[in-house]
Amino acid sequence: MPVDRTTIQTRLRINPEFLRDPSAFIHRHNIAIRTSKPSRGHCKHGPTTNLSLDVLTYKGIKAKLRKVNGDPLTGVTIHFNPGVCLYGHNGSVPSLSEFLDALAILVTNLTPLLSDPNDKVDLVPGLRSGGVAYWDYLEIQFHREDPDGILFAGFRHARHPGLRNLARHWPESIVIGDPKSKLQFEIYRKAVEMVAHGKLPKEQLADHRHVLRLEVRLKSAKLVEYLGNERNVEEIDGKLRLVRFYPQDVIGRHRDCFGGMMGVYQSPAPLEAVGPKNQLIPLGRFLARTTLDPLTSMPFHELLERIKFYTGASSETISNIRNAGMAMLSHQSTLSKDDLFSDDAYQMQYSIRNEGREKMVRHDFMDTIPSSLIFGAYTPPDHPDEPLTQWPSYLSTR
Amino acid sequence: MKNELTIPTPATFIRGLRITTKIRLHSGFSADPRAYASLHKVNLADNVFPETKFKKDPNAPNSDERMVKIKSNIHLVRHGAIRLFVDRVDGVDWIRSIDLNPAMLLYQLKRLPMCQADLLRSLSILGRKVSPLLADPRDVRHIVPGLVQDEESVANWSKVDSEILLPGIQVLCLHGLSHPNTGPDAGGMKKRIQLGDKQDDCFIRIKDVNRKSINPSIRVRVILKGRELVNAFKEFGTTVNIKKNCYLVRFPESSVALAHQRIMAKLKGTYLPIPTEWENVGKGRKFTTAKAMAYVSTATSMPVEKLQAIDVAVRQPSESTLGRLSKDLERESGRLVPLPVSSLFNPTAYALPLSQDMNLNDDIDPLIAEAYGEG
Repeated sequence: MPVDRTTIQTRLRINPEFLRDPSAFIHRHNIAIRTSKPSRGHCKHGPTTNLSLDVLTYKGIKAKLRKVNGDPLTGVTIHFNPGVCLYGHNGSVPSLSEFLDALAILVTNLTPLLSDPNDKVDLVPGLRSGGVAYWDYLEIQFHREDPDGILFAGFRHARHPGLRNLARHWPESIVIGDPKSKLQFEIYRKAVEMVAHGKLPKEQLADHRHVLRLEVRLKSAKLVEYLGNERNVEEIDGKLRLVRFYPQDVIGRHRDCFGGMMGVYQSPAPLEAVGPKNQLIPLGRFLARTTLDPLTSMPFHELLERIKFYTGASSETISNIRNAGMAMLSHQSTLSKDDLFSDDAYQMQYSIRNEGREKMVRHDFMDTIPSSLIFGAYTPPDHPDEPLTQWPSYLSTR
Repeated sequence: MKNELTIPTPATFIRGLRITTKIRLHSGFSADPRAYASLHKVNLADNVFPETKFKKDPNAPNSDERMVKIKSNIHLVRHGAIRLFVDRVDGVDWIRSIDLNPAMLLYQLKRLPMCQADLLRSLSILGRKVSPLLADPRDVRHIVPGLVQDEESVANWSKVDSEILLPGIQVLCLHGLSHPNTGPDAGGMKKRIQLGDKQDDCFIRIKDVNRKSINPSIRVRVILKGRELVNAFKEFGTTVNIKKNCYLVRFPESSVALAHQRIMAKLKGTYLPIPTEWENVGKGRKFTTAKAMAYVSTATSMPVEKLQAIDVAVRQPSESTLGRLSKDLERESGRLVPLPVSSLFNPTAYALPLSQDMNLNDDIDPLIAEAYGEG
C-alpha cells in the first residue's frame, strides 16, 4: 500500500480529564506522547480550545484537537505516516500488511485519550457505516531507479492539464502544483531529501541517490474524484468523502494521475504536417527543441511564460505554441508510459533503509495486530494470505 | 497610526529583529501569567500556552520515567510586535530570545518604511515592556544588546530581516540570479524568486508587488543570521567575541539599509527590461517570431547562430524567409538591453529615512540613543 503522508479528519469524545490537564494526564498514564501544545482559537461556531500532540518517540502520528466550547465532540485532525510509524523514516514503500500494522499502532496510541474506548472505531475511516472519520489527504509514492538522470530530466517540461501554475524546479526536485491546491506532484531524489532532513546518514547517500520518487498528493474533493467509487465513498456532513481504499485503488490512481502528464512520454503519433502560413506550430516546436538543449536552463513552460510577458502575445497564441511544443517534446522523448508504470514496477519498488534509525523504533507485537474491522476495510477480498516469513524489525523481540 | 499610501519612496523596511539573550523570568509570572501581568501592568497580548515535551532520559534508557521540558512564547503589546521565547531549566524560566517588529510595535503594521529614530524608539519601548517580567531588575541591561561593557555581554543580535521596495520592476525581468552567499536561485515562481533557504544564514526573496497596477514593484527581502549577519554589519557596528564566536551587539540605525545594499550589490544575474518598442502602445503589441527568438537568444546562453540552425532543422524555411527573419532578429535583439542586476541596488535606491517630529525623541532611552544613534 504505497501511501506516505496522510490526513484523517474525525470527531471524537475526548476524555475531559485529558483536556483539563493534558500534561498531568500524559504523565500519569504514561502515554506515548512526545509534545503537547495547547492554544486558543476561534471558529464560526465560537471560541475553541485547541491542543496539538506529537505522538510516538520517532514521529509518524500528529493529532490536532479543536473543541468548540460546549460541544461534546472534539474535531480531530490526525496526520499519519505509516512508514515513519514503523521505521522512523519514510524511505521505504509500505506493504499492505505494514500499512495495517501502522493503523493498529495509531489506534493503540490514541485510544487512551478517548472518553469511551469503544469510540476507537472513529479513529480510522471506514470501520463503521455512517462513521464520522474520513481521509482528507493522501500522498501516493512510487520509486523508480534513475541512475543516469534521464527519468528526472524527462519531467523537466511536464505539465498536467488540471494544473495551471508553473512547475518549480530545484536541482534535485520538481514540484508541479501549488501547496494549497488539491492536486500536486513532486518528483525528487528521495535519498537527498532524507539526508537534508537527517533521516539518512550522508555516507549512505551514494548508495541510494539513484532512487527517484514520483509522488502524487491528493486532497479533499480531488481525493474523492480520483479514488472514489461506490465501495469507498460515503456522505459525511453533506459531502462525499473517501473512507477506505485498497492497494489497487491507490496504485491505479497514481498511474492515472502521472499518466495524464503532458510533454513527458513518448508519443506514437507523428508530428502533424504544417502549412507554410502557419507560424505558431513551427515556433512551438522550435522553442521545445531549444529547451532540450543543455545551454538553455529554462524549462519550456517558463520560457513560454516569459515570452508572453515580453512580447504581449495573446493567451490563444501562447496556447497554440504550447500545444505544438508539447507535441514536439513527446516526439523527442524516450520514456515509455507503459514501461514506467507497469504492474511489475509497482510491485518491485526499491526501498531506502536506514538501519541505524530503524533499530530505535520498537512496538509491542500486541499493539500492531489490526482489528478485523481494519483488516476488512483495507484488504481486498481476493488478497492472498501472506504468511510471516521474517520478523518485522519494528516489533520488539521477547 | 501612519497611512502607508501617503509616504513617499524611502525604501528600507525592517521586517524583524531577533535578540539572543539569557535572562531569568520572574517566578510570579511563570506561576500565573495573567495575574502577574495585571498586577505589574504588563502589556500581555495573549494568554501564555506552554508547550510540554516528554523525553526519555538518555541516562536511563530502560526506565519508563520521562524528562519533561517546557517552553513557551510570550506576546507583548500585540501579536507580531514583541515575542519572548522562554524555556524552563531545572524549574526556572529563562528568556532565550526576543523577536521584535518595530513597525508592528509602533504603528500596528507588519511593514512600514523606516523613519529616523524608529529603531531607537522601538528598542526603548522593548526595554520598558520586558523589564517588569524580570526576576532580577539588574538584568534589564541584557534585554537590548550593546548597553553593557563588551566583556559583560549576554545579549547579541541574531537576526536582521530587512527589505526594500524597487518600483518599476517585475520578477520576470530578472534572469539567472545567483549570490555568492546562497548559490543560484531555485524553486522560483512567476511572481517570486528565492535564493537560499530560510534556515540558512543568508536568505534572499524577491517578490512582485502590485503586479497588475501601472506601477508594479519588487520587494527585496534579506534575512541575515549567524556568521552572515556579523560579516554584513561588522563594518558599521560593534562585534564582541564570546567563547571563540563573534557576535553583533550594536549598530547604527542607518546601517540596516547599508548592509542590505552591500549584500544585494553582490547579486549576479541579468535585469532585462521590456523594450519600449515592445510595450503596449496605441492599438497594442504585435507578436512576431523574431521577437520570441530575440528574447530566447538574449535570455539564454544560446548563440543566435545555433538558434537559427534549430529553426532551419524544424521548419526548413526558404532563403528569403531566412533572410527576413535574420534582419528582424537583428533589429529586435538590438532592442533588448540586458543590465547587470546588481545595478538595481546602487546606493541611490536606498533613500534616506524620513525625519520625525523631534518631540517623539523624548521616548528614547539615552543609553539606546548612544548605542544605536548615528553618533
